Amino acid sequence: MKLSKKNLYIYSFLFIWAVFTLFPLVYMLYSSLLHPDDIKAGSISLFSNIDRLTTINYAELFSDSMITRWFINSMIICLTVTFAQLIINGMAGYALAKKKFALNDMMFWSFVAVMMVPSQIVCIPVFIMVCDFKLIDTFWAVILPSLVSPFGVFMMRQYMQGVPDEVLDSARIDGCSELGTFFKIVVPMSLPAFSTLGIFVFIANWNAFLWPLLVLFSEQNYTLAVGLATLQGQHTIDYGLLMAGAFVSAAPVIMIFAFFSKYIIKGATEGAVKG
Amino acid sequence: MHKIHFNPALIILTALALYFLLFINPARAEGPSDFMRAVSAPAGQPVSGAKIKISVWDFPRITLPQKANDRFLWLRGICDEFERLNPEVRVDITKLTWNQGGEKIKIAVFAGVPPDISSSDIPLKYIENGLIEPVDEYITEEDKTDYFQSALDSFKINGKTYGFAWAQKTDYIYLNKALFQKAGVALPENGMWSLAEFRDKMKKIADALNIKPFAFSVEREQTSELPFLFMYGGGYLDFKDSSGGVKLLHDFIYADKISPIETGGLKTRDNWLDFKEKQIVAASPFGIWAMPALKKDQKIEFDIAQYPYADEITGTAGDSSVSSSGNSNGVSLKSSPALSLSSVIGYYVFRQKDPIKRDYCIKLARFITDSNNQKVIKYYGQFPTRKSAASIYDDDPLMKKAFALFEYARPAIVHADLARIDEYIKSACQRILLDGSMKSGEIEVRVLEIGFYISTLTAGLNKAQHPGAASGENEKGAAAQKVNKFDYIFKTGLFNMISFLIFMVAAAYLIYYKKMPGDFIKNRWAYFFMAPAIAVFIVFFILPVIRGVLISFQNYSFGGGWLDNFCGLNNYAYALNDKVFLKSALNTFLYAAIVVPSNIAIALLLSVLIYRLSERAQTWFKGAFYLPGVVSIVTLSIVWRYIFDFKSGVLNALLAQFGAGPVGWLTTEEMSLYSIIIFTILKGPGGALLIYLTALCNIPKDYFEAASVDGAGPLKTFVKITFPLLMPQTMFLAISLTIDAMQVFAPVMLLTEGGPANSSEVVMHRVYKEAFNNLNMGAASAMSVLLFMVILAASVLQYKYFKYDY
Repeated sequence: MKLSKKNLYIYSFLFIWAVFTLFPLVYMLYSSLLHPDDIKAGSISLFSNIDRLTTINYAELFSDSMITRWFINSMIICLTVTFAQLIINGMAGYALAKKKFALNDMMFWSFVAVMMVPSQIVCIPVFIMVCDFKLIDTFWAVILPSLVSPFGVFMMRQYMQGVPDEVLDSARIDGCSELGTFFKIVVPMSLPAFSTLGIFVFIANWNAFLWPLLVLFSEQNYTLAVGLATLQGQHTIDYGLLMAGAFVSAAPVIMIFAFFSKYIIKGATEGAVKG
Repeated sequence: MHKIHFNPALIILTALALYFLLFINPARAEGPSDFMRAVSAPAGQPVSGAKIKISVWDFPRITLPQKANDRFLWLRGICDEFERLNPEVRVDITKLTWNQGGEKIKIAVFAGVPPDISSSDIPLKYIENGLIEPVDEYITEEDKTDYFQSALDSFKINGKTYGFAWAQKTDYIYLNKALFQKAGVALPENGMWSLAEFRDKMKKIADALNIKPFAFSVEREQTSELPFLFMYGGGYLDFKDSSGGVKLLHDFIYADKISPIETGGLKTRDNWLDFKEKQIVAASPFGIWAMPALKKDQKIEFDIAQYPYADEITGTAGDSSVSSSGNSNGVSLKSSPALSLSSVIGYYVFRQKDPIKRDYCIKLARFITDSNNQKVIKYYGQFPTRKSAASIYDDDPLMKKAFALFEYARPAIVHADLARIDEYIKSACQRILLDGSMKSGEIEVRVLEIGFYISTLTAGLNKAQHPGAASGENEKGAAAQKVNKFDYIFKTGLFNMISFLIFMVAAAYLIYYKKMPGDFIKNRWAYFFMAPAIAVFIVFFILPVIRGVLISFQNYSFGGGWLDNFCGLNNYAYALNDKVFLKSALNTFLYAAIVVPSNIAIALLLSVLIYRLSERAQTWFKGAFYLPGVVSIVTLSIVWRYIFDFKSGVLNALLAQFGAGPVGWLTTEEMSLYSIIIFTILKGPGGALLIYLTALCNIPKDYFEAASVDGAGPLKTFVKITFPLLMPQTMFLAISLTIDAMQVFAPVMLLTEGGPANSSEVVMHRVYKEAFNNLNMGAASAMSVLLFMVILAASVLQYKYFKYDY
């Protein structure tokens, strides 16, 4: 490829900016591999200790904290929420896109309106409710309020509008039940939307912080994000350990991003402006 | 839009639903009815076969030498032993963490789901509310002689004992022997020194070694600087008399120059690092927890000393302090040689309904703290509360010395609202200590102001806090312990929810009745598909919004009904008079005002640059810029905290290489908020970038060709063509990014916790603290409603300027 002078400038500018944005992640990985003594000594000249990297922080992390447990907790919660959201949002999106019932407009607009409402505003009343129902310090307290996302409903509706009516009609004529139509025709035809939404929901819940922090009490119930935030000791802070924890929590998300970046980048622009 | 038909049935149904919703509010009924009591299982008779479950919530206190990674093994061991002795009991341990754990207990207690046993210093607030079982009957005469009197007394209120004292702790000044030696300065004799001696020695070391030898910090919930602060009198509750102590600390930094100027923003852990790892600090106050940690590493030769005692009280410092009042910690040497503050940790039992369970709970609490089991405190590095366990440190000269010095420790003040007072005083002191230009007169005035604020705060708290708390909450506390099944449905507002659901369905049906009769039957599948989403939506979005607004008008305490304790606009008045909240609102606006335009500008610039590149390069850069947006904000915050760290951060290391001095990114009032802003901007506008790119690709190429034919340069093309065409996206992003920015929370919580001196406090973090630290749900709701209104205004703008093309 021919590199004109102008393009060279552009490339180098973009490259420098990319270094800026990616530096923290690289630095996280690097310092998680430093020996605790090097970190504590504080004499950190960049990348000077590259020859004495060690995995000692990870060993300490996995033996001294409950990170395995937190990892499993996060997995349980995120997979449950993702699965439930796909079904619930998919069903609602289907009804809104393809069924002409009287409340269609009203319901659609209320979902769009709620997309504007910051969910953090409702955290105090929902917290009280969760306490009332004695769900506090259980996974249910995290799972139930995130079972539906207005954005998900919106996105599924947008996509499912593209499913041709003729296909649905012929399925019906062939004697397919309503549920059958949904699961055998609509879902397979909307798989790209489902996968994009699935990835988004998973990442969002994997990274959720405020709500799990509020409702999960005991260390063995923490999610990874919450556990990570409490990883420091009572009086001291061990950055090597923290960086190792940060990397463990970021790794699945980075992996998902590496494999599915096409869907993610597409999904990020979905629901935004079209014209 | 459909026309609304006023159907008579609709009006009746609405009225009915409103009636259910508003007036039949069984949550207000007092306790379970007699009938309910009769059907619930008779108290005190555990069903045969079922074990009595006791829940113990504790902190990771002790690490046993044989298994270093399990910080609850010691407690599990004791509880297993107790289970063996009492086979009908099962003990569940909930493992709390140090940060967050205290709040969790508080929340659980006020939410009516307290543990059975927990541990801390005396839980005054719960005792006041009748939530703690007195245990006097279980303390034998033998125990009484065995306990150190002061330890036993520390859990006594109004003649009743509310828990079993377990371990005592205090703070010491830790000395780095090597540095003392190097500077040729002698260690204090027997660990005792006068203030003049202390200052003299520190100055000598400072001159000899060119370091700041004395490191301290003023941090929320820490006690290590208090003996200095209250040295010349005053205390938490009469802080107005503490100006001498504040001036002393100020002088350490700016007059004597024995402490670093960034002290006001430092935390204990910073000093710990300097003392233990870098060894550039000769003396620093830490809790007794530091002893085992220092001994374990053996990197440092250290000694301990008691806090210095005040010499002749000089000048203006302490005219009023000699007669320091009874409840304060400040003491003059003449009356009693109390120098450091001690506190006692004990195990206590929350109110139990079932007498048999109560018996077991108290027995377990006693068992954990009995003489034999107290020996484990040896690995905790604190002092036992029983004389028979006092010998555990006999083979350890340093601990023996510490124990000797412990004689000069006096119990720290206890007060139900200490946390709030402490937070206020600490952040005010941080500000004073960070301001080197403050004259001694100004400090006095400032301290008087703080003292005045504290006294109004405590007076206000005594009056306003839960009117009738003392009498009313006793029963509520007891009632909240056990709610039987039927009662439960009514008590929890489930009833309100069901009636509200019925109301919504009925109203919706009736509004559309004329338009489409039988729609529910005809389109039943559509409603079937919608049902789960709608149900979750109503329960977790609509109802909470309503409830949140209601709570903002209530003096809410947990267990309160939807319509209890209305107090008008009090919460709003409280919020708008709260200086910290106003500061946080200002900070939030500032944050949004900087972050939003810079994010948009950067996204615009990058997207304009990227979209001409090849497909491959586009994909690569898209990924690089979007990746930080996918990674958790918690992860990134933690990494950035490390990067920003004053002592060991890479940013300051980098600056040092260019010869620039270290910047207190997160530790100075000037920088803390801007550091968070820098973090947010550098995290990158990934989503915005992608939206711009998509829009750019949709702009017909002819436009640009036409422009270049007309001789427009790239800048002119951008200004005249590209930017106007991207206006809708810009508008959309401006508003949605503003909404996001207004709710900034996690970076503040993880980077600075709003400090130092509230300089980086933002609204959501303030709401969080007000709600879950101070348990002031009403005011917190009022604050979030205020924020909500601002955000709503932004959303309305969004509707107005921009229409979804759905």
